[in-house]
Amino acid sequence: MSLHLLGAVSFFLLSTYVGSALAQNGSVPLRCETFCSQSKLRTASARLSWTDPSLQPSGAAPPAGLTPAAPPQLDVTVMRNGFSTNAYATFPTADAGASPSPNFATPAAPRLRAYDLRITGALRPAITGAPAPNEVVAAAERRETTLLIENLEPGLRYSWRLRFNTAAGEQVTAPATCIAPVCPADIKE
Amino acid sequence: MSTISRRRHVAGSWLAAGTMLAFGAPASAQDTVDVREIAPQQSNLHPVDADGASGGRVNGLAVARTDPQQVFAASEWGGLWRSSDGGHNWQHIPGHVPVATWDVKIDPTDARRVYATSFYDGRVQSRSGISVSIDGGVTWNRPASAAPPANFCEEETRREEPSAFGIAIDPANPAHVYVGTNCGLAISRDSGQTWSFIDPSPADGLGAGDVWSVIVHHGGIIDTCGDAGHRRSTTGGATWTAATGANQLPAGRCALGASPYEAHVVFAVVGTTIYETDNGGATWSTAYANPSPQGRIPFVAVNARSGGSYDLWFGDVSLQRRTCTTPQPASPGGSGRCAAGTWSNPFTRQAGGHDDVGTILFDPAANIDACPLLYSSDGGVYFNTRTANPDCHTPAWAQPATTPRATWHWDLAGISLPGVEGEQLYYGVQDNGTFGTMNAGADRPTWSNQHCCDGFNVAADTERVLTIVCCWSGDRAARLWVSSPGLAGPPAEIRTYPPGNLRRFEQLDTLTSLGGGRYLVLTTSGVFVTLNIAADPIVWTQLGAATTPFNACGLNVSTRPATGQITVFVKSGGCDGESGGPLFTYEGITAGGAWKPVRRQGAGLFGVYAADPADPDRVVAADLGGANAPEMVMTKNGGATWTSLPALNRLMVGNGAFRPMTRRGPIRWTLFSAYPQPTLVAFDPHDSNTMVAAGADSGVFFSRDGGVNWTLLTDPDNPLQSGRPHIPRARYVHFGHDEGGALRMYIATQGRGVWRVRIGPGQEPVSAAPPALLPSPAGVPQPDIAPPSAAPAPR
Repeated sequence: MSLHLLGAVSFFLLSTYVGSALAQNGSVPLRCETFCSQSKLRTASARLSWTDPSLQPSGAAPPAGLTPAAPPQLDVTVMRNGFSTNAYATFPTADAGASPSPNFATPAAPRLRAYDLRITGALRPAITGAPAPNEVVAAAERRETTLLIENLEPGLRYSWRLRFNTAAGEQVTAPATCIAPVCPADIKE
Repeated sequence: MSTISRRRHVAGSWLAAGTMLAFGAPASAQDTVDVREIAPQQSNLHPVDADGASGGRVNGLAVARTDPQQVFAASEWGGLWRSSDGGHNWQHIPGHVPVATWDVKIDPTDARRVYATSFYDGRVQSRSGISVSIDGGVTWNRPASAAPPANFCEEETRREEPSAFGIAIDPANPAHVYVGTNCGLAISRDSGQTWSFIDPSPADGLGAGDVWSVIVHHGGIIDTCGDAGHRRSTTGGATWTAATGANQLPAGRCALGASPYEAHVVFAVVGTTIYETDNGGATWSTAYANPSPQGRIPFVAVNARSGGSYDLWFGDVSLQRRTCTTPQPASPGGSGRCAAGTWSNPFTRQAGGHDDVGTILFDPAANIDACPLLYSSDGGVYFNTRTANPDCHTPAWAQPATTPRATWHWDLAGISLPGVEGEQLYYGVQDNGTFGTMNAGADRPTWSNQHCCDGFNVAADTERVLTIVCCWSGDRAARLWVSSPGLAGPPAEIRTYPPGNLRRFEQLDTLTSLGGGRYLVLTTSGVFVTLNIAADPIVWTQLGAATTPFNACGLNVSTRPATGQITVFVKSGGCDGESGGPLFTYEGITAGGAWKPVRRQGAGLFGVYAADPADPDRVVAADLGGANAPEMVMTKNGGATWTSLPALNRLMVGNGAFRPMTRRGPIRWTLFSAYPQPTLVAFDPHDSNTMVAAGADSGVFFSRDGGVNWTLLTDPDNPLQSGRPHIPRARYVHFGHDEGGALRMYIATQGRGVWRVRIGPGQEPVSAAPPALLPSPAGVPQPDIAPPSAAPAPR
């Protein structure tokens, strides 16, 4: 399977993994890895990966009610139990690279630095496309979609979840939690 | 078998531990082993650039109320340090074995009682977390009750792999001690003898998580922060309150400080943001802009001033102060107490202190207007030269005569010179820059700190030294510099870069000398070679394709003696050596070839590795993907077959004392994840039957018979008793040989400085000479240093 690449592929290639977490107790497992950008100083990033429920191996029919899945909404919180207390922000994922403004579950919530996130790219399996690097091919073979997010606030505990609108109704992943790394750069003066 | 021959303490530094070791076959004679710290004790760059430093990352500080000359420092990777002269000279504390330390506090009523916290130490029976000393820091104990109960933590691995963070002693009752841990809050009510654990957020049903900071104030009010955000207890920990919904304090690494005049006013740093609550944590409605955001470690402190005001000290890249006031009458709510103020000028690089704040320590004898005494940062510890109120509140920091030596190395390279003392040695360190010496074999090498900031990879030939230094703003953050031997003269940036960016913040090598001005460098665009680094422009030739091997790092080079054929090795991914990646080789150093994988059936994902410099078919590696991973394995036929190295594998885990792979161990930048024990393996280029290897927690190992038999050179268990130092996270080695037949291994670590291990007949000379240091580069002539004349031994 080859890939259709959206957004900053170079960002994906030039990054360094430094931490990971895994949440798998939903029908759509969501995986979170955090790392420091190799291309931007002092920039903490996250890579969210999941297997799109509408994609099946070898062209098999997807589960009933799951076709076709529109790009999901991304919820993020830095609060303890933030999803259950409406202390989270929501980002659209359809326009990766557009740095969308989030919607807040509680509109009057303080606009924290933690939510100044940029969705810089997405890697999605597709039918055609150019040959891809090894790691991307491996991801495609797992039928994963990967979302690249940068400008995390270092040291914060981020929890993420995806909400899919399907014919069967809204499907929500179990939260995936990871710590944003500190990405030091000691600037020469 | 080993016996101790001597232990010395010279010039304020833990210098030497001579040990007679009987090595395995084929050596039968006994050799003397001398393990000596050779790190610089000051930075000669500091007088002209306060970011020149030699101390390494220091987080916590403590001072004895009953004797302010007694101070302690907790370094991030190099253990505990102490000074008995108010911070002017620092010595390592070998009795505290965990090395990734976070905080330290002294009982205000008894300077002999000291508390320290540390991150997980890799042991099956861990000594990390909470440690208590009752003899002034000489010996340490982890009380049996300083472990949470089963099924209490958010994950059970937190109990099995303990880490602890901030310490607070109740000023109203110093026997009450509180420690944030990776499994809730630990409380002792008997001066650290026994402990119990509390989950400050029991209602969330998640189990106890990280509590990074705790403060106790105003008669026993406890505030904590961490994975559960902020929590407050006014009942000694029995019950807890917190904000809800969007009014919460964010979850994560944090620090707390309370107003000295209002119990309901608390300041918190989470991430890079400073928050304030004026109602005991019900809302966190005030946030202050961080003037220098980066997020090194969270730090905030308050200092009561006369007239009802107080100073709020905050630090990230730089240290700042602003004045806060208390409304009259004091009552909850209202506007931010420091909102009317502005941040004063930064008190770091401009004030003689290194950037990137750890903490600040105030005079414990004063309740009001206490002078700042000490300051810690990525450069170690600095003392305040302004000692009188009120001038002291605008501190002017000075470098200690002997700094801590907790430097985190990114590389090490050397050139062998004739004579006992002659040896060029170069290294790059995290935020302390680049260092070089022309006499690394001397009792006290003379060091030059050429660049500040992040010194990454280094390489050298007889004519020059190459260093990669970071970080400049703009497109090319990391830059490649060429200097004369010893790093004594001014460096010159190369004029022609290969495509891509120089790689940054990775432990595995990305720069290597092939001798004669030829260099290999890895960038984000691939592997490049030049046959003449002195050319203008420099011609860079790419070896193979830009995308394969993906994410290449970990350069190794092997040259067949008979033909001179060069084989280049790189690893794909896992560039700290802590996660696996496949190995690749490239024959020759001309374009047009192809990278070929070095496989191991069923696995082939390697961590640290080394290729025999004289035989590319011979590779030793940490296999992180096989059934027995991590496992040290060796091939002698280019990967066709591999054999395990059982003696080395036993030592890597201390015969069962250490976990081969942690699950919640400290990695970098205060993150916790899995790491394998192997951090180093290398062949002596002069004799490839001589090998060295190291474990993150288990020490440094040596073989003279090609890896069949191995000997532990260090003491990860009882260094105070044995006199042999514990050297954790050794990551680099340079081999040298002197005329007397002795082998000298120069070893650089992640956080515990640089060492020389001499193995051979006779003993090391010892002098009581003061620390040697080149003059500062500001127009001061360099000392007369003989040019190198021996055959090079490029790495």
